[in-house]
Amino acid sequence: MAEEMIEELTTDEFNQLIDGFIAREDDRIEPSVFLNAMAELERGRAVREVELTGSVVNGEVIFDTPSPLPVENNTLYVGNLKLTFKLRLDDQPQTDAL
Amino acid sequence: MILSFISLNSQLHQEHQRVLLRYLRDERTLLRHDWVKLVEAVDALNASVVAVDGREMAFRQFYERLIDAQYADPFLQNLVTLNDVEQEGRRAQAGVAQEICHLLDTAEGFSRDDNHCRLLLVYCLYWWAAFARGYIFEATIFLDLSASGIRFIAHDITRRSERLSPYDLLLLNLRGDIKYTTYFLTAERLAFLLSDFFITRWYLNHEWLRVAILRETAWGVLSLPPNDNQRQTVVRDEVAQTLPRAAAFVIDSFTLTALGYEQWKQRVQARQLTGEE
Repeated sequence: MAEEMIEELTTDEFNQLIDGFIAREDDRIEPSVFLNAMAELERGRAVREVELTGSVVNGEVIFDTPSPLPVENNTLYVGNLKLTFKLRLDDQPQTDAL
Repeated sequence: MILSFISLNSQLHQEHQRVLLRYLRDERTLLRHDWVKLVEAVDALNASVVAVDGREMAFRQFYERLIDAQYADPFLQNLVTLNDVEQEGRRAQAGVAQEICHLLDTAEGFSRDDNHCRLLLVYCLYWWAAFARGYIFEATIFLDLSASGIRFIAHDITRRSERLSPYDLLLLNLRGDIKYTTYFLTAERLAFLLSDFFITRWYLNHEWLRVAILRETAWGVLSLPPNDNQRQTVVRDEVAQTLPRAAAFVIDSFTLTALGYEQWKQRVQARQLTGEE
């Protein structure tokens, strides 16, 4: 037999369901079950994309603010990673000295 | 308030509605796969649409504009004045939940006989419970830290702008977050969180155990000199068996240490007593 859905409850049953949920103190769930579920969800999701915009001024990367991630000039923070950009300006071909 | 129509997101399937009902009846019956479905169901409801006084909005916006905007601040302003935050806070939480029911029940176009209306009500109560339980736990921890003589700076939960701060408290120059559940223990979420430590709860042997989870920055401050070997390296699923003793484990590239909340407080107190702040 298929399990019930909310729409199949009588109004009295639905009212009891709501009253019971309001009175519930906590969600009782073992972290191992929950964390595995969250990890499964994460695996199934597309890679999260964050777009940062900005400009390069005198060789420095200057991000537009507000930014979706913490930023400073040439620097981006992702979690406990501090990413420091050291970019070269390669607009002219380098030639070996003769 | 007039609700002229509700349109459910096409991603909300019958399977999601079944798991929603099971969750509302008894969350302990949900298996791993069911929790995945529950999260999907809530995501699908986020994007479902309701027309309020002729204006269409997603359920998420409905919750923010008509529930959160009306009930969140007064609830938190009352919460911080309570003597027994957990018990009285739960009663206040239930009281607001009843007000949310009343708000919807008295809206023109709302009927508990209609499945779409039922799902809107369930959605609002789900998020209200998550919000209220989270802040009751946070306020309880702040009170306990104060009672334990621990020096810390906390954000003011009664001010909306401060509630959105990237971390909840600061002690020993470490940033901390108070998390009602362990949902944040995934690689993706950890990558976007700035905190050095987290205070959370672990459901173990039919009771909740308060737990501190530290990144290496926090463990470096709180480990005992010269070399603290008092943590055991385990896989994530073995953390529960090791608690409240310190257990180091890895999630993706993040090394974390979990230990009992009381044990964590002892270490903080010891550091603060030696004046190393």
